[in-house]
Amino acid sequence: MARIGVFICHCGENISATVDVAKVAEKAGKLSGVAYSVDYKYMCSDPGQTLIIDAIKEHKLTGIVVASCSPRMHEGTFRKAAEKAGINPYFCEMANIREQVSWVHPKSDATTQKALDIVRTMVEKVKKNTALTPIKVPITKTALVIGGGIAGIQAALDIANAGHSVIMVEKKPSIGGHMSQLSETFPTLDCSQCILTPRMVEVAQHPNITLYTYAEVEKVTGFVGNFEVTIRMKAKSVDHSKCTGCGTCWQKCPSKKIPDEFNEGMGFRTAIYSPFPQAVPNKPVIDRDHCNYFQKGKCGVCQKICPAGAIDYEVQDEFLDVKVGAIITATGFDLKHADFFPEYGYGQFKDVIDGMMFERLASASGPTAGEIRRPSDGKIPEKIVFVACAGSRDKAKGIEYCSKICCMYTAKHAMLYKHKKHDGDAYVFYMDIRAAGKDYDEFVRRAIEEDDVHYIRGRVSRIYEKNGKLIVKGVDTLMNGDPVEIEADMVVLATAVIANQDAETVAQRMHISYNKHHFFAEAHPKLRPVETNTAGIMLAGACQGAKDIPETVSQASASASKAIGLFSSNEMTREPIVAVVNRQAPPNFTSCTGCMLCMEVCPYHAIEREEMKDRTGNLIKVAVKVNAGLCQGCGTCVAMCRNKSIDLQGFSNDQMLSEVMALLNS
Amino acid sequence: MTPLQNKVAELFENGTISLMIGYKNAINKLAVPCFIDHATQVEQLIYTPECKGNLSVYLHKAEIKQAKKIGILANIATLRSLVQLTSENQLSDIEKTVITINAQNEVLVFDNMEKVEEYVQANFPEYTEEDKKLLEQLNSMTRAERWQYWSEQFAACVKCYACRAVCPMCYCSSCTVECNQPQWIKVSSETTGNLEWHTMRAMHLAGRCINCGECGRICPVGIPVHLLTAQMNLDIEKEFGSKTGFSCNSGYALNTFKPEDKEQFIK
Ligand SMILES: Cc1cc2nc3c(=O)[nH]c(=O)nc-3n(C[C@H](O)[C@H](O)[C@H](O)COP(=O)(O)OP(=O)(O)OC[C@H]3O[C@@H](n4cnc5c(N)ncnc54)[C@H](O)[C@@H]3O)c2cc1C
Ligand code: SF4
Ligand code: SF4
Ligand code: SF4
Ligand code: SF4
Repeated sequence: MARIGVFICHCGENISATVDVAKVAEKAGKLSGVAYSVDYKYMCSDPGQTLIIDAIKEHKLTGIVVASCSPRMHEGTFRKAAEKAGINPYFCEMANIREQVSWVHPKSDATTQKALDIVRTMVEKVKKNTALTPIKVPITKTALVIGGGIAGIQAALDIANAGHSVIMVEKKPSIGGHMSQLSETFPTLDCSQCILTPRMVEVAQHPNITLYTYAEVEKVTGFVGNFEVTIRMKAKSVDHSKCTGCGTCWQKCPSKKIPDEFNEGMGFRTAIYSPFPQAVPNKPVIDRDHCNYFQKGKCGVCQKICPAGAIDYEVQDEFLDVKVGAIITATGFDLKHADFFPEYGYGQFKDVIDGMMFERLASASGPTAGEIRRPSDGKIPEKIVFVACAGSRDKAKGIEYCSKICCMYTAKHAMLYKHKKHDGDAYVFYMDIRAAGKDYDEFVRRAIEEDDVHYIRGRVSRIYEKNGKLIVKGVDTLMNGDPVEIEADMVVLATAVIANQDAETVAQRMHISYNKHHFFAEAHPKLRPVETNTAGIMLAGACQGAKDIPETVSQASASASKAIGLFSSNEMTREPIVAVVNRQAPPNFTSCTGCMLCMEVCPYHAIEREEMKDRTGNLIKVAVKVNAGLCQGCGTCVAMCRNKSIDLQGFSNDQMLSEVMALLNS
Repeated sequence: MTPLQNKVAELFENGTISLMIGYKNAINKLAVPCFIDHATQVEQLIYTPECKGNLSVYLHKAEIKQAKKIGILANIATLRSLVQLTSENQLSDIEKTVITINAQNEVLVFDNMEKVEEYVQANFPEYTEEDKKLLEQLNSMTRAERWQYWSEQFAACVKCYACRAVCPMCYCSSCTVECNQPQWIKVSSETTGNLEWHTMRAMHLAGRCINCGECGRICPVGIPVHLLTAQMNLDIEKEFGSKTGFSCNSGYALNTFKPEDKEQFIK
């Protein structure tokens, strides 16, 4: 027989001012199965908890209902108290008579009655409760970092320095990401490569970090603490264990006219290449799409001349299976290019460039060795127009968000230009200036006030070419919307930051959500900004949304701390609120028919096929089981199962129906 | 011997099947199921317009499954249920040979489900004229009239569960009506319990029923229960473009989401 204890809390006056708590306690005491009932000023206080513990012992209670605040507040408190008194903590239920009663109703008999009704439903539920034990899941203390931009680098170093193993997977031949392409960085104008390359080298040398470049994540299965990941190692055609990075091959490769991605197409590279001098690793790969040997079947120059004998044309993509406990997704972003804008000539004007191209022109390692020369004829421009919000905040273009970094890098670009060409003219068309970071507004003001950059508030409607000049037509909204026309030598579009082309595929492989622009979604925009909805998978950097470096690095360290936190114990304890598929005596074994309908609807991919076999290995039945590590207890599967074979522990059909019936029968 | 009998005898002799599920004559001139396990018994086999029963229900029975190599004589409805059951992972553990007789009276033998699927898609049946007429009548009623109609029909239900027993898609080893912890549906035959049973049955078969009509045909008190699922299938086809018993791996309209799905019901 159930012996339930009911504990009604006044919550100071929060509850007792509107609910007649003494009456609820008195009436609850008369409910069938209730052996003890009492009200008290603060149940969550020490004396309150002691009262509960003593009552459980003295009255030999089998379960308790604490009628107080939301279980979100104090469920843990009271479950621990129950445990201390010697009963299974899952025999403790809370009736929420504060948020659901006293805070939302005036003082009245009906309010008191509602409190009693809620207490009664929970009494009925707790009678049906069963003892549950928390689930222990082991943790693999290795993190996978996907993407080797500054976000991935920071996260990997933080985790590795905390003493855990890290596997980094980078799609390109070198790590570094977009930051390696930047010239100088706002707001301090320090050289990007000078601050980045030491970190890149540290990654390569760190004993706890295994780096796989030219590799991609193919498949992710498993769950927090226990992911299984397949990595595709794209065929580099160069054996990096033999290659010394001497560079003989890329000097001699005859396929030389390949647009150089690192320099945003302004310059060429060879088919066997290492993307830039400070690349990590600085060992080449063969771009098979452009290699004469792979395309035309003859050449083989690099193989002949490689002193280390490292070139191997036969290698194929390889697949590597690894086990990791946490995953940090740091796959970064992409940029819209000038060809996105019909009004600016669809990229047909060579001197209408995007921001990243300008970075390369301004960079000492770039195609012009840091001199700002225009792509068409190599002349130093006398007048440059910068267009902010090119594509961003433009609903008509399908990109209604703010790219966040453009206001700042446009000011930086204008400044860099003025520093190099003192008598040059720099114009910036802007919608409004968003420079809300530490030292950011000061930076923009410096561009305007000290470096004499002309800021024009308005949009550019059209750009066309006339007599070797680019005519930029726009308006100045601060001058009554007067039309403005500038004859420029070069135009730099601060084009929108967009998600990577493969972002959707990556998200689907990882089972994480993303927004309509394919930026990955955090679990909660305010309170869980670095975690995803899939436990154990974190986000870092611009893959989650446009970000500058300081913000990227902060988020990377934050996600690293989540991984390190997870790795700080050997096992994870999880609430046993998970679905279970019933098991029955033979010959049925389970009532599950193996229709797999539940599998499809589980948002966490927690349901697995199970083949039941007899001792000799003959298949008896195909059914499903729930992976308790993955299940989040959402209950979707329970609703799907026609024959009620799957049920949610702690919120079973039986318990829920008892609650509903208690309400209906009141 | 008929071509069908010859074919089946051949399948026994070359070891393709060890059990044949077909139809034989009953005294009252109706066709009833028969199970034969040897070539010598093939002369019982018939295939006439009376062969309406959906034989795929037997594939769920443990004692049938034991036979491993099963031959099944299938009319078009049975073929559709085989397709639907395959899409619900129910037939993966048996080796089956499917035999049908086409409009030209040829005996066709399918040794895999792709061929069955192909045949079904090429010969996809329409609703019978009678059902079309009944559905039209129901649809022309007002909600209140329709409610009245079904209430009266269900009041007569004796909860024999024959409609469930003949249904190829009702294969659960323990049906919700048998769950007693909690007891979802009242055991006895009375108004609310009957309504609960029929609502549940219809919902569980929505988008899965393959319109064989067996449930309506078998009901001892003559309730046309098959019309409920038949109408729901029409609705689902209209909303989600999926037909039941049409494709072996189409997924279930009510548990899959496609970006192009209409969502007018979310208002
Ligand atoms: C023109 C321009 C100027 C800028 N100037 C500044 C500045 O002055 N100061 C500042 O603070 N910020 C600046 N930024 C912003 C800065 O570039 C970003 O904040 C930073 O690069 C974000 O780092 P990330 O690691 O998140 O992404 P990324 O730099 O994009 O790195 C992502 C990495 O992941 C890899 N990757 C992608 N997909 C996969 C995959 N599927 N598998 C494996 N690897 C993958 C990529 O190859 C890349 O190496 C500028 C940006 C632009 C466009
Ligand atoms: S929905 Fe139910 S019967 Fe079907 S596989 Fe899942 S648990 Fe089994
Ligand atoms: S309760 Fe939710 S998360 Fe758990 S198995 Fe069912 S559908 Fe998946
Ligand atoms: S066969 Fe007819 S009487 Fe029997 S349960 Fe079904 S509807 Fe009711
Ligand atoms: S018509 Fe009736 S018996 Fe046939 S599949 Fe549909 S519900 Fe089942």
